[in-house]
Amino acid sequence: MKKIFLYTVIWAVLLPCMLWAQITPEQIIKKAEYNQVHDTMKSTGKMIITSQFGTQEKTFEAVAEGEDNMLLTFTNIEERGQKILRLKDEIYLYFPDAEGLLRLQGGALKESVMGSSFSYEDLTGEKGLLDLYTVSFIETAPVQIEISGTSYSCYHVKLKGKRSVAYPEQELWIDSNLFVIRKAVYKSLSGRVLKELVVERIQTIGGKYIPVQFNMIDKLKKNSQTRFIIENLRINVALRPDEFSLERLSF
Amino acid sequence: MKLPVIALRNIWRNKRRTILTMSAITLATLIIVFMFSLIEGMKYDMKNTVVKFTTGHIRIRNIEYDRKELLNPLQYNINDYEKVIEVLDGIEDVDMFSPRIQFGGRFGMLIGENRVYEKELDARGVGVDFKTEDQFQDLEKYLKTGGRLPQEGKNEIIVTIGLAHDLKVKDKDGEERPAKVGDPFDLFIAQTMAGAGFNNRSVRIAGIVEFPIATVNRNLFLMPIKDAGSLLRMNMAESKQAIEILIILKDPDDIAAPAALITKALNDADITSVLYNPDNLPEKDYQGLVVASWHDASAWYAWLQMAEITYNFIGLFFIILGTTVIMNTTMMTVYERMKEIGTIAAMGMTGKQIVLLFFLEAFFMSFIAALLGVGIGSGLVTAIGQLDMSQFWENLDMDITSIITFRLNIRSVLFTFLYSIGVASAVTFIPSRKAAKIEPVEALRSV
Amino acid sequence: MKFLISLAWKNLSRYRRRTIITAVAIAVGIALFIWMDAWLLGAEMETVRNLLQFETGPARVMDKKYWAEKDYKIIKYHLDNPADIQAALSEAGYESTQRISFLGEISKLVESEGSFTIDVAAIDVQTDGKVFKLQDGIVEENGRFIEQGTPEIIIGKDLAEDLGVELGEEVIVLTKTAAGSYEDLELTVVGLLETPNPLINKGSGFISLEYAKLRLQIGEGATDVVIQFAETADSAAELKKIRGALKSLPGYENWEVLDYKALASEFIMLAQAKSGGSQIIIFLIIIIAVIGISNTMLMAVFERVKEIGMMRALGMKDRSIVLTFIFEAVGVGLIGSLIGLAIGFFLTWWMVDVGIDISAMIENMGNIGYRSAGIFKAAWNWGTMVNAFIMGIIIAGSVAYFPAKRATRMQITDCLRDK
Repeated sequence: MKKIFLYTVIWAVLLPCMLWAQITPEQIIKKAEYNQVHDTMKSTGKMIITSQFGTQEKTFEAVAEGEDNMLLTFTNIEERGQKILRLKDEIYLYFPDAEGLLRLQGGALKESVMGSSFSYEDLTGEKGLLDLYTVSFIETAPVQIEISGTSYSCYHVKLKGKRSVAYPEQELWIDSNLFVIRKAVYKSLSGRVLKELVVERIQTIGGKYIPVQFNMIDKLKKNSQTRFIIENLRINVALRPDEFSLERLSF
Repeated sequence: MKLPVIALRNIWRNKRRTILTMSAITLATLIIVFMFSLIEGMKYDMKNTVVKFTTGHIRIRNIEYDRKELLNPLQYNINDYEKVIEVLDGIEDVDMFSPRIQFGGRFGMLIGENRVYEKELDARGVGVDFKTEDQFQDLEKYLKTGGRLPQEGKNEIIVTIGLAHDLKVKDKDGEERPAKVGDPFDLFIAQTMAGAGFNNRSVRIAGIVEFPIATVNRNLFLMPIKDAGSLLRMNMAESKQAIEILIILKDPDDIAAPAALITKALNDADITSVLYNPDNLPEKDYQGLVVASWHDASAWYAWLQMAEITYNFIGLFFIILGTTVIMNTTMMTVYERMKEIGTIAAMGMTGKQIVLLFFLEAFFMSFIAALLGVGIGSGLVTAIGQLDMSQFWENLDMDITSIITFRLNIRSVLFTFLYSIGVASAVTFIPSRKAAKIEPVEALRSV
Repeated sequence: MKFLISLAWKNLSRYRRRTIITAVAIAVGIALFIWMDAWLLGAEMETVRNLLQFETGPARVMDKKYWAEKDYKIIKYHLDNPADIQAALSEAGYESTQRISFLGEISKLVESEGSFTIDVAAIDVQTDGKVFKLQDGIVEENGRFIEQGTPEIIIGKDLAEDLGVELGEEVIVLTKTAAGSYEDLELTVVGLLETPNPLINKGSGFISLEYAKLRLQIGEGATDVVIQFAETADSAAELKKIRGALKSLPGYENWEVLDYKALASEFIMLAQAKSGGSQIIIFLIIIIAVIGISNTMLMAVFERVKEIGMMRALGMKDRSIVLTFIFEAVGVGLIGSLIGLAIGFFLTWWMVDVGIDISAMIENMGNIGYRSAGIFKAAWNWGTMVNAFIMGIIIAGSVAYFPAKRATRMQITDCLRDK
């Protein structure tokens, strides 16, 4: 799921369906989505990109507001001062050495972010999963999956795209107790696995569960994965009113 | 009576005819000399372009880059070009060298609302070492007044006039104008080394340069190689990387020997290199540098040879044309003097002498005429030197500046000279022999 | 007037040798001029031809949004009713073919070493040949062309080498469907392309249109309708006609209709940057021809000064004399031009139909990357032929004017005395 890596989804209502005996796939999804979103979030983090060219580590500071706005500021040496600003469907790139801003839209969003396994498109996204996909159980009872030596009980659900979505088919393993996504597999229309996301660590904060370490593997390229590690996570922080404005990008 | 004297007197006698004939020969010769110089100039220009801007006489690259050229894989570079240059410096045959990184970039202009670019322009960039490049490309000569070469580390570039024309800046009145020295633009790189993502940096035009080749002037810019390397995220801090090194030799005709020498010298200095041999390609798993003569390195040489053949054909055309003119003129002079032939035949001159007489006349006339033609032609060519055709295309875009060089080739001048004389003189045989055989009475009667 | 003309004509037959020699001079000049021009035109067209036959085609209809982001070839923006467009074009007399052009990441299916981004075009196997010459790019030992509706692909030979793929092996092409979803296509390489166009050889693949429509969620749509017209046609005029034919179709305002000049603007500008050299060459040819003609004309007039004197003494008006000479000159010009035209015609015809085979030369020169660029052909240029013909006559005529005029100004007695 797109939201998971950059915690940018707002959720309004949590259906009181926990009382029901048989939980539906839709309810599972809703709970999982609710889990990830806060009004405002701040954190620092690392992005470790492994590819055929070796490993690169990038550090950043992140600010997010609701579902739509997110600002990443890079702090490692090579990219220091570079920023990625997401406003709903648009991405703006700020480079400290340049005068102007780069606006990415349309086809440019397919490009990968700094050579990682995430594309700019993966950073954007407008609607909730239930709007875009029909959900169904692959197994009605939770299954056990193993991640980094630990076994977790997860609901295994399948998502089929209702309309134009980048990944027309997905498989999710959602923790049956915490309702957090543990693993996701993204497929093409014909069912070939394109990417795989594995959540390696989860943090409890504000009564919710946020994945703070996850790895995205590009299944089509040799040796290609990107690991996100989020540190210093704070929620419900006060933000400046112009936090996500274009003018502020140069600061 | 000596025939030569008669011949000279005949020439002198009918001035109008002589002048007419001689001027035709002069003009024909002149044009042929002109044409050949033009052809030489065009051949030279093309060769120059390819050698200076694309392949050099010899080109050194990382073999993996060559193998995967499609992707412009910057990571397969020459790791320490300064070390390679050190080796090259010690080789006699090497005249000049140019380490380079070529890449594609996009200029963002006219920063408007929201600080986003209103216009963008794709361009080709070359990172060069300006210390050596100045000499390599004669940069100072082509640099326009008011500009200078960029300094390293200051994010300065020089652009060609075509590019300067297409880069737009808004002036105080809000009108768009072409770029000038001092204007800043953002340079965006989509493909940096090893998929490291985008990069964007503000650069300033330090100078504008006009090369004598139209295609180069369209959208090329140059920047210091280390600045290019850092823009392309090539870890320039650690080592001195270049994609290729072009070498110009002192003797452009002997390439094989120096190439072998260079390869050996590099290997001796612990830089793994192999000499490119199209009949015996390096092993699939060979890693290291490849030293290639421009004959083999790319399709350019073969293409140039084709062009050369075309030009030689054109030269041939002109010779045919010129020959026709000379023949025409000279033959006419004989035919017109049928009556005269009859008279002198009647007076006792033998057929052989008559033929010889006309031959000598043609010879003397053409000698002077061809000399004049060749002289004026050479003089014109030397004086013109280079013709700037741009004024012929005032209304068209600046893109199409073509400067045509003329080069005098002594061999072809000599050839043209002798050829004209030869044709003019030899051609008299045809009519004069026929004329000499006719009975004097017949000749006298023909008017 | 009639008298003068017949007089001129008689004079021509009188000085038959001179007439022939002069006519030959004119003929050679004109023939070479025509041939040279055809050749230069052929060279110019060669580059354009390459573009037309393998890359852009003469003209295309595309969705406006598709064209706006042409670097990304987003098939989400496509023509919904390409068949209707084709029908309208056919009524207006144009052949056309549909294509879906998109970007794909191609890699070997098994043991992939890496992937390349290439241009993929889904082509209508039956009609593609009406516009493009792709079929010529497959030679026997390099496999065969794709078949309609099958998961097959043909790729450039160079690309295959770079991928490490051989005939019969499979590749994956990853792309986005018209709905924006990622899709991968498993395709068998059935043919390797070798064309005169290096871009095609190094970075393109072609699949079946029917198959693409099945897999890419595009319904019956297509991204391009490529329209055929002759390479010598005036593309601006053709565009106008095409737009007129399509104007009434629904959705027209969302379409771009562009010719090859706009489709490949950068490349065209390079190819057509007329080198001043060729202009000079033509100019010089003209000069030499003029010299040849005028020289003989001049001599002809001057040699007949006595004759002129006699005619004037007999009462012929000066004007008539000048006219006679002009007619003579025109007559010679006519003969010469006709012969020159005929020779030029045959030379050009030989060049256009047969061309000069320089492939043998190329082979000796080593790697040039092309194959069929070995035959160099010229192009017909009727305009030039007509111009040359007319010019020959005019020049011949005008050149006779001045000396004839001069001669008529002399004293009659001086004329008669002239030797």
